Amino acid sequence: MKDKDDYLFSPVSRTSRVINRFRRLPNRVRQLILRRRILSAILFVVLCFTLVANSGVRLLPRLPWTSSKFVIILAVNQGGGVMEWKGPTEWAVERTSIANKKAYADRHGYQLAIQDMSIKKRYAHEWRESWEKVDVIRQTMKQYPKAEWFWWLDLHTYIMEPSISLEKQVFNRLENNTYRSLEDYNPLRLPVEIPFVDNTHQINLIVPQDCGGFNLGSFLIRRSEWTDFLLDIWWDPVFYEQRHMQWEHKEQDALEHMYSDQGWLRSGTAFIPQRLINAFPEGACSEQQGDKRIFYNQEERDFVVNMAGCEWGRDCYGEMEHFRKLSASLQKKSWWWPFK
Amino acid sequence: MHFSIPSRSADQTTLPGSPSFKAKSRASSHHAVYPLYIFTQLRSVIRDALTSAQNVTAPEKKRQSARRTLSMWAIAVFAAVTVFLTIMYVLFANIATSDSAGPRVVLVLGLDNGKYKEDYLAKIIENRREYADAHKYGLYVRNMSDFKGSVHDAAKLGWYKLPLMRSAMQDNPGSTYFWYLDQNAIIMNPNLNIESHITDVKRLNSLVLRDVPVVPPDSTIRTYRHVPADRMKFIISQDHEGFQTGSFILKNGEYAWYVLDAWFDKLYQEYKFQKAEKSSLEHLAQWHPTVLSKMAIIPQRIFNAYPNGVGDSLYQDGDFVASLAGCDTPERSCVREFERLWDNRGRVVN
Repeated sequence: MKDKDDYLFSPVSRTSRVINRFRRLPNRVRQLILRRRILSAILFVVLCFTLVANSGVRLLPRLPWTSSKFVIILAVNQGGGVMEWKGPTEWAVERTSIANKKAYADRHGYQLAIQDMSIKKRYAHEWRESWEKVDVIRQTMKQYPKAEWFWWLDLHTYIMEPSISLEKQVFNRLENNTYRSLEDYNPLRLPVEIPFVDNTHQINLIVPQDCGGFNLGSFLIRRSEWTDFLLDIWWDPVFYEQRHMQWEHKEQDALEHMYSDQGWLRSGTAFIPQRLINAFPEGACSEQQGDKRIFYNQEERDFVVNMAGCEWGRDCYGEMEHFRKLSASLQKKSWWWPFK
Repeated sequence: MHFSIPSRSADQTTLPGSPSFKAKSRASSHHAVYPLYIFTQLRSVIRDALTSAQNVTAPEKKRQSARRTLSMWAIAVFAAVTVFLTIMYVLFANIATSDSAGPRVVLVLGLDNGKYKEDYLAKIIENRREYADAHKYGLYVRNMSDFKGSVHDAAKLGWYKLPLMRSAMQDNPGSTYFWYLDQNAIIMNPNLNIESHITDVKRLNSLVLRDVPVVPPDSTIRTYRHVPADRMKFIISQDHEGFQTGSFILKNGEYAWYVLDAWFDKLYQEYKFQKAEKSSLEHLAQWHPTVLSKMAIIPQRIFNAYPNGVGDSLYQDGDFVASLAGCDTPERSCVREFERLWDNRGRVVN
């Protein structure tokens, strides 16, 4: 019987030679891989890596001791039930909001810091009332020493699109997503140009502007030396003494004042279009009905809704339920989704 | 067909160049334990590399030399890529490079040309220029009236120095230290070098006054005890009343811009502090630890001595600077005091 391996001078026909070559292809491939084991192992790893990385699946498992670069600060228990009674609807709103942020943080590996904003004696009237935000941010920065960005969220917010990560929404194209100049959108009519502003400075504070000024219901702040200075100078007794009667929104107004006056602050602050992280429902900013920059747009699937001011005359519970149901229905995928 | 471990001298049942030869030698050792295979392979490679390939047949030798050249090429390519990437990184990565153009120290001088005569101001400029040229420092001279628009109350002259310093820093981004010295002061001993006299870390460490009240004689807030001198970015002195802002040094950077802008805030200017910008700085130092933690308070005689002072602030021969602070009151005369000191000043010794 002729040796099957001995095909160097095979006398078979051309057709059968071609067929044989195809039949032997898996053999040749196997030989090649066996010969270059290490190289093929490396190639295999690289191939797997590219496939997995592009599919969006998490590459490394999220270990319990790894810490994320992002921390979500959720301000709950506003007032602590001291000035107003906290009824079942308030509790329900709080539960919904916390569950929403928790699910989001778990999904993307962010850390969630739920901070209590009950009224404390040291914030009694005439003494830095409502500047707790600043102290809470400082405290949270101490608690999460490895995190870089902190996302402050008020209680009456809802993340409508939990599949969008912060990196995708804001940080991957930070320079494109934010603007530094007040030329185009200046609802407060702050001075557009002040001296000694450095526009190439690192962005350390990302704030949305709503119809009435800066909105600190949903903003991002980075850990840095600049931020330490800001958190220190934000409350000052001289500023407070002169202006606290006029500053209705407390630290928000203080920030607006410092932004209009101090150049170093402008250098590190950038604005983000409101609808990226802080869209309003129809009830808020009601004088500006139809302004496309402010209100939540269902077709464009805006990221976060901030039901700002719902406790002044609107129905927080109703709005929160509405947005929760809306988000759930938007996230439901139809059977033809994979083929879209 | 049974497989056996091939030996070099075994008789070949197949032709040497055929694919089955290779297949056989590989396939047979497939049965061996994998690590053992690697070990034997390595050993043979090393042996071949060390000894001459005498007992190796010609095609083996050609294959081995081909493999060797291939591996050499691979290593060469890898090394070249590494070197190239390192060069690219070094050249183009965003490593903070200081703008090396510019003097290390800049003297900042603001002239009040509304109240004083040209020749008086010219003498002051000459004094500063002599000092700056001797030590290769920069000199930044502006008229105080340039900043009239940004100050809230044009009559309070103390506030003008803040936007002046800020614009000095903006115009000299490559410089590190900015020394503001009041117009009504003379550098009496220009042989002293700012770095060795004040800002060198060891020297500064020896000068810093620790645990002294920020507002003498007995404010509650005192200076820090353990902050190391290399973190200090704001060097200033105190007289018997409080901060003496006629002479201070700021290190260019984030902290300096923050302090100068916060200090100059409109609400502070409007507040009607008792001593204008001096009280404002005292307020900042007491209420904001981010300001105080980088402040170094040094003895007044180091760079702000008073010729008519009392005790520690009294100017003595050989002191660096004589300051005529407060001379624009009716009882004193800046020009007369200046003339007296001007003739006695030290000159640069080369």
